[in-house]
Amino acid sequence: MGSHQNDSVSKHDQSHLDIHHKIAHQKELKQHIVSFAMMIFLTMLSFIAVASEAISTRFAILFILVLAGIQAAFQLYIWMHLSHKGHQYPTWGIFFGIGVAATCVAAGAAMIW
Amino acid sequence: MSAHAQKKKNPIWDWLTTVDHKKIGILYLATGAFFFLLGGLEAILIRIQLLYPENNFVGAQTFNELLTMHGTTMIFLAAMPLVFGFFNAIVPLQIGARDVAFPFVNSLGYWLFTAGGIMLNLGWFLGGSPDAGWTGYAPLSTTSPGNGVDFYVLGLQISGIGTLIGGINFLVTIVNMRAPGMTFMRMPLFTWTTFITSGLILFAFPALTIGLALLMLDRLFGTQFFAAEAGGNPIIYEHLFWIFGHPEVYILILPAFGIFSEVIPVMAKKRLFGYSAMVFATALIGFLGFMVWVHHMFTVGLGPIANSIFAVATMLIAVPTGVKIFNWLFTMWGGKVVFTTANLWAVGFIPSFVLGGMTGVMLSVPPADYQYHDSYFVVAHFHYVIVGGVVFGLFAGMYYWWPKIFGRMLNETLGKIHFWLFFIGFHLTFFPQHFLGLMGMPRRVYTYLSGQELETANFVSSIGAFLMGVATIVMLWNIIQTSVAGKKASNDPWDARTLEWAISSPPPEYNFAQTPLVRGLDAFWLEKRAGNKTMTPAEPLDDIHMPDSSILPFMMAVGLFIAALSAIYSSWAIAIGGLVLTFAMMFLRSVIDYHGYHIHKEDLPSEGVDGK
Repeated sequence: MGSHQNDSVSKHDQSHLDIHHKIAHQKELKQHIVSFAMMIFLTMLSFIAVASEAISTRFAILFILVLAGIQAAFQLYIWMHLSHKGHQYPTWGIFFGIGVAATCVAAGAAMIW
Repeated sequence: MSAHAQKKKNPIWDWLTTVDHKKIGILYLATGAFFFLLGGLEAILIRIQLLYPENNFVGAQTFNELLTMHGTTMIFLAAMPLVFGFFNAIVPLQIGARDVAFPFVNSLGYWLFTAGGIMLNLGWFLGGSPDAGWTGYAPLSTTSPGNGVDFYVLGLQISGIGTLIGGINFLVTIVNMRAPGMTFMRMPLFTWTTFITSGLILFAFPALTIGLALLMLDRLFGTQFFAAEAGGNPIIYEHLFWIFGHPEVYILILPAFGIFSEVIPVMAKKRLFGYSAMVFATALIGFLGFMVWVHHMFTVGLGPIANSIFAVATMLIAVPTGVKIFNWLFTMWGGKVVFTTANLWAVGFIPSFVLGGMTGVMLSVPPADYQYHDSYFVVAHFHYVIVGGVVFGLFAGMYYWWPKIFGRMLNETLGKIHFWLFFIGFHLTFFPQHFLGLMGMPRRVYTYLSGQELETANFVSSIGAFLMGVATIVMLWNIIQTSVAGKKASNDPWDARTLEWAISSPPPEYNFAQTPLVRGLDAFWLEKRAGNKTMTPAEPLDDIHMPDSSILPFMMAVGLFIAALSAIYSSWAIAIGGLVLTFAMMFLRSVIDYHGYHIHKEDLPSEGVDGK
């Protein structure tokens, strides 16, 4: 990022940085609004799935579980900023933990006689 | 050391309250060594019983207890704490840190482990030890009469909590506390294996916690999770145990790999061959370790598809392990190899461990496993990998780091006698067991009949076990003799490569007076090549902040111990009292502010970074 003497950023560079931050900020704001709307929509869908007579209970349960997974992803990535830089360790930890937990559940549920 | 010197503390109080990673390391090593001797004694008794056919040295019940306690003690109470002892004593030094990330939690981990270890061994005095094997399979464990298995369940649960928080502590320490310039790919291999091992602990131990919790509910509270007649399922316990159990064996072997990766380059005067491949192989072994647990359950009857998938996954692990073996060989290749005792263990490890790896691949073939399963072939296999790998690694680490930890050299001649006696004894004990297994001798059975051609091999095996016992006595003599009249160790007796050798032996309590600047892999070696006697400091000399010592971790462990012991005897009032004690200590920890104290820079020796 440009030449800077004595560790200080020149005025010109500073204005550049500001613009970049502004763009990143606006992008994030948009993401937040979209995900907020999506999450409300998904919540409505799950209420409908339960309330509606047309949808069987079995399907409703599976459907809600899938929606819950999507909601959790929204929560982690959009609201808890897991997508930002410097979150490799939490990301690795969460997914490896989910993997091991899923393995246990799968073994207990499917690999028995 | 200097003027700050806290008023002379009572040494017992000092050890009970210490949060210094070096002292906690010594505590782990001492406790682990004690349990190692205990487990070894149990092994000798087992081998005396099997010396002759239809022997009556100990009865069947005592044999079951000895066998269960030998396995449990060696895995959980000897190998684990010895590994943690080296983590504590060495890793903060290797990354140029002043302590671990959470010194208080470190001390808590040690005391919980010790409380659990004592709990496990109480059965010897309170009418019967655990007798359901180190795996504690249900329904054998749920129906075992008496309190033996209760000690197993609650003892392991308590020591498991200690191990888990210890693992978390080292993850955070290695992520956050490396010296300036020490990137991940500049970390010594022992630090790398500590890091991966801590990750395995974090993810594997919860499965054990669940398994033991369900077992506890079945035994103490009358639930039926594993009771088939009530609709429960014992296979679930096997799954939970091995989802933990297989990563557990990598938790033990990876630190040993790390120790060899430190010892071999130093003793060959060459940098480690294929550093990045070594790191990658370590990570891959850790990752694959979670995908192979079913190979312990091939004969359960999960079907050919499950068995085949897990067979292939198991064979896959031979690849990164082979990479490591070749890298060690290539490190020695063309090097100026010095056969110090530490290096003898490392060199002796390679053929021994490869033998265990070979039988491992044999066992990974399900149709063949139906023949080997529960026979002495399996016993031979896992002793080859655990003794030939883990124990050799721990001995290598002991001879290598002893001068750094205790400030005195061990006697090399006695060390070499120890090595040769143990090495010969080890192969004498376990090599014949391959054939005993192939001839059909089942494991875990307290005797065998005469006239089945099992006598000679069993006799030889027992003689080998006695030889290992003699070797251990030589080691003890070495320790006693050198701690009384041993040579003082210099800072860097092996002309080594990593940061821990840049400071005095033993290190001062603050480790590094100034945090060192790391310029590459083998940081201290680089400085020595550049003609520097010490590390280049990364910061000006300043006051050093030290953590306060605390009795709370010890009291928390005491509380849990009381709670568990009373729960076994259904004294619920006292059990609740014990829990209250633990929670009260946690409350105190939360409300009392610990400010620590400073060692002022005026009080530091002027030498700077090497902390002399």
